[in-house]
Amino acid sequence: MNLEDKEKIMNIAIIDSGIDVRHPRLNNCSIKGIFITPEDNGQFSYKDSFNDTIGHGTAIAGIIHKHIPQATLWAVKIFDNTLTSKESVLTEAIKWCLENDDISIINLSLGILTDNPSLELSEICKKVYEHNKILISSRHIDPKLVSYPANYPYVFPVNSGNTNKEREYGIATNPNNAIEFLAKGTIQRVFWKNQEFNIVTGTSYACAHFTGIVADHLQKNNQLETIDQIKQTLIKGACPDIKNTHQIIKIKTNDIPVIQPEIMDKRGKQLFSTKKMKWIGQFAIFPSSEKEMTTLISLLHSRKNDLIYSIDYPRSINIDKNTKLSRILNDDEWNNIDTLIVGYFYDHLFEANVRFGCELVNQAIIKNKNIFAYDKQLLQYIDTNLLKTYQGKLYFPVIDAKSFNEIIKFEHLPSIKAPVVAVIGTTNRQGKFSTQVRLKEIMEQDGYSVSMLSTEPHGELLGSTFAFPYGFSSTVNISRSQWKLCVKTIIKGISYYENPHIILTGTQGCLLPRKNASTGNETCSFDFLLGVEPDCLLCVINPEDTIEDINDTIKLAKLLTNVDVLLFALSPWERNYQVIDGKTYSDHHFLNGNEYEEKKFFFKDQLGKEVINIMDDQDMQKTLQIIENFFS
Amino acid sequence: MEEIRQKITDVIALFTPENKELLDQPNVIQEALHKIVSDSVKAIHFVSLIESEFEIEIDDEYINYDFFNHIDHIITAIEVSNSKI
Repeated sequence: MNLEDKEKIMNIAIIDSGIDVRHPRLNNCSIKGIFITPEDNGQFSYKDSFNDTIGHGTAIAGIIHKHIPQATLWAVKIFDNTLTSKESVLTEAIKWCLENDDISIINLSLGILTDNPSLELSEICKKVYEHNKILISSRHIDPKLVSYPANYPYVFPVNSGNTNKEREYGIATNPNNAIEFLAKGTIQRVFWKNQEFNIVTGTSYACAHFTGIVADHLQKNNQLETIDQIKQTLIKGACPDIKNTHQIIKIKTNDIPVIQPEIMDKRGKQLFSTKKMKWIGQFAIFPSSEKEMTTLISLLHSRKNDLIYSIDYPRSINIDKNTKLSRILNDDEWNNIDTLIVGYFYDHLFEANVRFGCELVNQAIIKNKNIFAYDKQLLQYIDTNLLKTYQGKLYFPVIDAKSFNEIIKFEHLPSIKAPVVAVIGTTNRQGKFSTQVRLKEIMEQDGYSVSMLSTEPHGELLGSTFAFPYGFSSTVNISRSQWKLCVKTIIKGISYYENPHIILTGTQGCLLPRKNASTGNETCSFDFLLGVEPDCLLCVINPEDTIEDINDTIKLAKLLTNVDVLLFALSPWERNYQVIDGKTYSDHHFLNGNEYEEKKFFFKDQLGKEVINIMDDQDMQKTLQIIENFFS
Repeated sequence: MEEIRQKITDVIALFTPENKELLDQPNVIQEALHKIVSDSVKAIHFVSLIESEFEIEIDDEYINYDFFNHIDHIITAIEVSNSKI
């Protein structure tokens, strides 16, 4: 049948994944079909079974059936298990439809993304047109991408339009100045394989709706028309308000304001604010000889006067009798502080030291002092009965399932406005966090508001807005697959609620496992950086680093973040590694002034970028200028 | 209508248990609906739960972006489907 026999039943071919004829919504639909598969000898085999194992073809059939229930649908199956096939199979399927006299419309909710389709495909589509049969094919949703057969002039190309009405259609001009039809490609419920339904979007479904519209037009219109006349009539009847959904999506993503409920805003301000740590007034720390604590003490600066007591292990060879205590505070001393800051003390060599730590914390609870503890493991060591009457604040900078669920409630905040600078490094223990703190100080002196996302457990004590402590004794207890979303949302929260001029952050350890300096958590930094999405990087290097080590690190960082290292900070500690009995030991040598300057000059010369000393005010001013120039 | 709204909210709560307490706020509901529609399996599950809750079959014409954009549109779709029974 062709268009000259319109009074007969309309026959529509659907070249796709077949049709699930058992679908209850297709009970009253007349369905015939065939399955075309390629043979090894270049020929094709034709089978009668055309059951849909994907769902796509059933969806197309369901849409067309709703438009024109009296039509007979021909399932011309070319997809089996996956929505992929060969151009030759498609050509053969169109040829089969051409030779079937009953078929007047061919629906192709598919396309080949190519600039150079085969001559055979072009010729068969032309023949369909010459035989006054209608070929309707979907375009790619991105108008810039060329797809065939939709791109042939003798085909009705269809794209997705922003209409919810199934019988409405529009027109648009694609980048090649050709007219394309727009039909409902927005969210819709369709029939699916195994007698199920699905909710889908896309040009495939727009194409099916348009096939239904054309079939309906032909059924109602008794005048004989050529393909070109039908096309012109349909162009005239198009609804002018329908736009390509590709354009609409672009407009929407730019224009939709994100409105947070007030209660969420209140929580957001608490969660993503430096002010949340205001409850810490004057404090004592324990154990003061532990690595993170020594860093904390060295970086306290403006809060140095609030550190009243440094308490260390009773069994320690480092006790400085003048400034540190190695005993439980007495009543008067407890009265001088409101908070006890507790670092890691559970894996210490001497059991007496651990017992001492537990007793100190128990006393703090009895005295209702606030406790800032690096790790929730503390709860296993203290007398939890004491907590029943405890009136202080017990705070752990941990990321667990509970805090993650709270954080991701804010994932729909607007995109990050403030520039983000991340500090990376070639090894562990080289001053990445100190670099961030120094940079913050210098920028704040210059009038900038600076927020920090720290990866140190004590970060919030030093002015960080948030801590994501994934380094030594990591307290990030969520799945690695959740890191990216978590980190990104934290940065969004900081940007939205603190609205700083700049956000600083930094990784832990090294990015590349080095023969002597692997920290075992290198790949954690990958996920962290993927979530941070920094705008530029600062890289801390060591005097003993080779240029190859450094270049490998910055290459990897570039791969992960797609941004460059702006400058380097040189650590003053040179490490010398020795292997004794198969184990690697390192000793540290602090470079003197001349040695340091020589190394600095060497790296600047070799790396072609500024190398700074974070303890040098002039260098830090230079850093500030480089960052300002980069973002201005 | 309030009864319909409450039933829909109860179905939404199945998908966002962490926001259960906040679902009396329109923006939270809207956000939850946006999350549901971003995952087609969740979306179809949601529609089928609504249909079984109200013992109706919603016309496919109503299952579109607007449906998931506002709870009032879901109410309208349910009322239209009810009137057809």
